Amino acid sequence: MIFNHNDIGEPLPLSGIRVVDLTWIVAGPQTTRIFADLGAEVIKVEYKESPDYIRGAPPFAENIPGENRSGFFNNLNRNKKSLTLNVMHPDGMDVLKNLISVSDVLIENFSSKVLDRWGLNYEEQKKIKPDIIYLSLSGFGHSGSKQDYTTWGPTAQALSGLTYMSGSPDEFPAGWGYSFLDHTAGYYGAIALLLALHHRNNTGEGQSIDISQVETGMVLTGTYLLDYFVNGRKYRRPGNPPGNRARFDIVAPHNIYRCLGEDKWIAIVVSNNEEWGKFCISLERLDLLNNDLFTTNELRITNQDLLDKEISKSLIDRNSLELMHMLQKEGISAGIVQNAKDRVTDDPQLKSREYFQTIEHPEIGTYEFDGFPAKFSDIGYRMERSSPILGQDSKYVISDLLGYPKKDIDLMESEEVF
Amino acid sequence: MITQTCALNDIIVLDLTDEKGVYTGKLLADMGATVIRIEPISGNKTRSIGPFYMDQISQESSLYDWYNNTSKKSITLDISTDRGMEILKDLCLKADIILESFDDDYLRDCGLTYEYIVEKNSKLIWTAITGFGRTGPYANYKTSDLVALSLGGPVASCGYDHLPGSPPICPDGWAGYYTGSHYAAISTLVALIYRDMTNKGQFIDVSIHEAISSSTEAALPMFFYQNNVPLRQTGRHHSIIPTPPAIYKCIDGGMIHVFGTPPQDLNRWGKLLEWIQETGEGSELLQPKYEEMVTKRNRDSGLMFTLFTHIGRLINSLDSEYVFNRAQSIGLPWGLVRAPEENVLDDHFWERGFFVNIEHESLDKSLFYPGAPYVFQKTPWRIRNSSPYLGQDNNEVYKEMLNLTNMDIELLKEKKII
Repeated sequence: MIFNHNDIGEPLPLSGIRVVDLTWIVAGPQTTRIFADLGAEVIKVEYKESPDYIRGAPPFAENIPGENRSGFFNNLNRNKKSLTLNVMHPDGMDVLKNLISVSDVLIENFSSKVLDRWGLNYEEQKKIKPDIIYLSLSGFGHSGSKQDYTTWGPTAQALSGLTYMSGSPDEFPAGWGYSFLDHTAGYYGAIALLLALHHRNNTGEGQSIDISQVETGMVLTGTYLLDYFVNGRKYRRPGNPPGNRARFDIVAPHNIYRCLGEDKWIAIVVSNNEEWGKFCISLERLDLLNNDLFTTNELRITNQDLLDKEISKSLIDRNSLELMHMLQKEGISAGIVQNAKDRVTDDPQLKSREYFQTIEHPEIGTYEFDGFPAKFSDIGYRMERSSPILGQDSKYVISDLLGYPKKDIDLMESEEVF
Repeated sequence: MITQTCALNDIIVLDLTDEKGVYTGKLLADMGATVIRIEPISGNKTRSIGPFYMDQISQESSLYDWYNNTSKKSITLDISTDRGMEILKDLCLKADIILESFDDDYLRDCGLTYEYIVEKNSKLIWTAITGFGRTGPYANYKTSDLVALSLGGPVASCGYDHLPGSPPICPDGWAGYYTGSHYAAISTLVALIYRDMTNKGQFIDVSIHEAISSSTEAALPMFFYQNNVPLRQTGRHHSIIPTPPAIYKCIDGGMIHVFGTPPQDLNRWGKLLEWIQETGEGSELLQPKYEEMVTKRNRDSGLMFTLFTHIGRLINSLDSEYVFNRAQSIGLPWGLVRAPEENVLDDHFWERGFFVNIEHESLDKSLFYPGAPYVFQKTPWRIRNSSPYLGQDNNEVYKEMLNLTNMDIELLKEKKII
């Protein structure tokens, strides 16, 4: 086995794995981003007339829209190749089938009936490539009475319970301010494909995998579902969700407090009496330490409204970052609420681990990217190529990879097959 | 034959994680790996996290612990003693993967280093899951789910724009730790695929902070490309420009999250208009400029607010289940805002076999659990046993893996090493 290497010479662990990537929007591209970063050859297949929706989603480089100018798209689709294909044309379908025949994985996140309509369900794929691993990521999965229902990240969050679980007590749901579950469904996609690859390495067998985005949210509510099943306790009850306080009120202080400056906040968790002592001394609030209302965790929980009010008074005029460092030095879990700018420009931890890296894009220039969230001793990931220009690799795939003769390619080009 | 239906049948995992990484081992165990929790004699602290079975607080009744430790085994071992560390080293020689989430230097201080492991068992994959990673200025900082989600970015995007001055909100449900665990599982499996090819193990340094930072959708691109920081909005996407509310109350008190609207094609747009007009309103939406929201992806703020005012009134006047089903029947990906337990009432998830019945021998009954995040055709996800009692597998594991005798085990118990 010969591995490709990244620019600092580390082997890329998924070298040699080829992925036919029929996904779009966010969830599926999240799965294939991980595969592409780690060395797989991900061939993103798009239809020129309606390419990946995210190509049209802001932010755009220099605020100028264009199918190769979306920063959101660039971020999600780095290290991938682009093949444009009209699969409704017989020659286009022929190309797709030939591509499947030399690939390891096929992944799609269409609604549940699309591949059936194309005549390309798993049974058909197997005829082309007997050990293919087929992953489908849909809203409700490929079985059950709601299999034709569709979701986007926010509506899958709403259905799974995650939206409801975010908010101040008895207030309207605050929900998630973005499609968290598109990432999460994408992570389950990556985990599933890696498990299937290991099984294939052991047995030579491929298989199909069916992921429902709503279910990937439901598994994150597992403890609460169990609480309902065994104790009959509903999450929907007065006082829930807990806002920024500890669930089940197990510890106090546990909250997010306002600090000096516009929209500056700090999260603080004080887990025991020892930390409470250090916390009060650090803040020069011996009055709190000596106050009979706060001497034990139980009392701090009971008197939490007053406690939070007193703590807020001490924090409102302080610099949040300095406060975080001061409390962390005392062994107290404290962290500022960082927005994207804070993370990119002011986070010494992310900087020291070289989490942000740059890649040059042929049309829009050089931009920053978030890296892979783990470091390996002997392997690495790449930040090699920006997201592909639409159709950039069509000829590579059809000619170099699949070996179509030039006259066929010319004919396909004239008929806009790719 | 069972052995062929588990993707990780061949894998032995030592799991020394606390709540930061405990879910990683569940992901591997439910796919067939032999995952052995190695707990201090006093028990892992995950056993003290509520809620509890019948609200009886004990080491064996934490539902959080039950959910996150399905299919695992448990042994006790005091690794702070010399003999305990020797035993851990012996176990490492027999294992494929070690998962741990200790503070930076703890295992080194106890006498276990990756250098030692490489020499003795070069195939071992060692996955360290920490708040900020093993290097950098925050390497020894103390995290918590609240602090991790604050520093990592999600909290800045969640909250209430309709309550001026209100704090950002941290979503409930351990989402920060789960995201760290997702990346820990992905990284571990990637290392396993590499090992399949090379026979080489790996040390993996997973940063929960980076895992969360990689999961905030367009927040980073908005800053990279346009120097913008989006503002959090009640129950919907963060945004640079205010967008109309996305969650609407129904006549029965239920709520609907509206997304993917206006739809991307005129067919569905027409059906939405027809529906709105059934209420006798919305004739202004027939003007061509509204159609351009579909045909030209025009997202003019005034048009969006007008459209959503009509959608809101429509939803306000109807029953939530009806709105959900009708919207889906015309291809609109709207969703109900459910509390977790409300999915138990949806036949769809039972039809898919999502909820599974797990026997609890000690209680002499079986209980329902939330199930598979993925449906595998050949190597199905399966809970093999309920979460283990503290040390329940001492005899089996120490005898089978280390060939200890009954007398050895009794002696170790006497000396409080196991």
